[in-house]
Amino acid sequence: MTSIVECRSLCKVYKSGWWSSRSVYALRDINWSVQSGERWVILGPNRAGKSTLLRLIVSLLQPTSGHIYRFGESATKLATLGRVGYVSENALLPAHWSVEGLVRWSGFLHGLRGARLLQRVRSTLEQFDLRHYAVSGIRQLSRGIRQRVALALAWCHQPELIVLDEPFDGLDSSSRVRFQEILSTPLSPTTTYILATHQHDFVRGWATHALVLDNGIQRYCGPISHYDWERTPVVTTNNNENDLQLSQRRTLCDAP
Amino acid sequence: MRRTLAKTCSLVCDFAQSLKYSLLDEWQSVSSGRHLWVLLGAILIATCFCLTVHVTGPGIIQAEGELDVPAQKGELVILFGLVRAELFRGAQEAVHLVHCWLLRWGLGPIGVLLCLTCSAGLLPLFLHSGSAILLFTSPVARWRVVVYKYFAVILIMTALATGFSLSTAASLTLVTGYWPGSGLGGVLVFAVSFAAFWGFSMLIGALSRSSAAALVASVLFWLVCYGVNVSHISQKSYLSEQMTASVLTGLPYWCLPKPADLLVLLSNFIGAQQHFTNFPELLDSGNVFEFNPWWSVISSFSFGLTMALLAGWELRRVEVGFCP
Repeated sequence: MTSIVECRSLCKVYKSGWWSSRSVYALRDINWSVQSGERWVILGPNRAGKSTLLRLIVSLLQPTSGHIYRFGESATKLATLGRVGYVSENALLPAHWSVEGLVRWSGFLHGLRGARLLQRVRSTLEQFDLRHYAVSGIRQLSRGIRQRVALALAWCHQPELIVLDEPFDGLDSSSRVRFQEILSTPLSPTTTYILATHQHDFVRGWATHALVLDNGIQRYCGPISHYDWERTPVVTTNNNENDLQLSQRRTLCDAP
Repeated sequence: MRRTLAKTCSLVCDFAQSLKYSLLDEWQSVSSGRHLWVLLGAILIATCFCLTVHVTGPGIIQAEGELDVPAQKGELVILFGLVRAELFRGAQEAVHLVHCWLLRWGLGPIGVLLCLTCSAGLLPLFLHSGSAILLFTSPVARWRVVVYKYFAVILIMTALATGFSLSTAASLTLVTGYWPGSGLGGVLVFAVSFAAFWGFSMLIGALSRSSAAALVASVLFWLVCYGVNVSHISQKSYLSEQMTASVLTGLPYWCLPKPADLLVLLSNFIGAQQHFTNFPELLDSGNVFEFNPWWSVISSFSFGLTMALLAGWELRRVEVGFCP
């Protein structure tokens, strides 16, 4: 069976400074496979590499080495992005659009046309309680509502893979509960989720698998039921180990 | 046959829809910043200037005899009497002269450079915006995103140029009673001139991701192209037998946009040649050398489009939304 997402020896190094003299290792030798219908949670402290991994999945970043595949095809092929919904960290949205206009544009970009597009826009606004904000400009909205718009954009075209980067940030308790309900009722049995979050209490009951990162290194990868929660890394360590040897990395991968 | 036709229609519809969304995104992005107000302010100043124009004398002067000497003289008053000029032409021609003078600068060098200044930051700012994340996580190829952006900004600037041309013509008609002509032909030449340099500005913006670099580089590039254009024509006029000089100026002339050629074309389109002289070299070249206005238009526009496609190719591997 084709994996929905597959990473092979994936490494990401950020170069910065004059003449790219400074290297920051964000991910090191990640080997990971996601199958259809699985619900993955990516755990780890700040600067563990969670957001980098998600951006690599949706082709916003390019791997420094290694390979990443979406739906069995290289991530450089953008056609498969039509089957992916993505919510970025901090819900970065085009500020000058109206809510309805933005959802419609997103649906159009992901291949929806005509009456189907209008129907999906209407139902998505309904689903995320955004009907009252349909004509409001994004810049006028509070952070919580903006987060809901970001989620609506990811849901609108009913993707097979939904990638969520800290989706609970900025949501009040009632919106959080509403969104957790939406997450708990998948679009279809084959919808696959990849969620990066610090909300451990929710994902313990929701996720089927976990990938734990610490300082760019894969600490655990496998069923969430086998994960020892006491070992969750919480301390952010120095991220500038330029001379780290690949062979010395401690990768605990229990995935099949 | 029917299937091919349906497929073509669907492709055209898709292109039109994509362009519509790009246009909306670009328009909202331009109008949310200060740049649009700068351009609208320039149009307003030109329109107000036209409202200060006053002409007296006969509408059309009939030439007398072989010497073409007018029978009556009129007066052109600008800026509420600050500038007064005796007219050796009819009042209608005087109004046309004022409009041509405005269009030659407004749709010519000043207009193009002002629009380039205002649009230079659009691509670098886009790469740091939420629009980039939305577009780059969709299945639309990045070069297509850039091409839609390229045409969207050209359409916006052309609409503003049309506004400039029509509002100045309307205000001149309002105060003098003579319609100087719409000057819409000149707007098309402006669109080509802007397109040629906007493509280059996009490429620099994509490479450097800096608004300042895109602005400085595109203005300098305009000056270089103007210099190359004029020197090629001068070389053809005065040094036509020197092979080395011919190659040195000819090669960049054929490759780069041709702002001086387009300026001559603009003058012809708005009928300014009856009031102003072009460079003598350019006029000569129009008769003797290979100055072909349509070839200048095609090559300048092709250059801009090629640069925009290169910017799209460059964005293929640009990383969006990270802070190391």
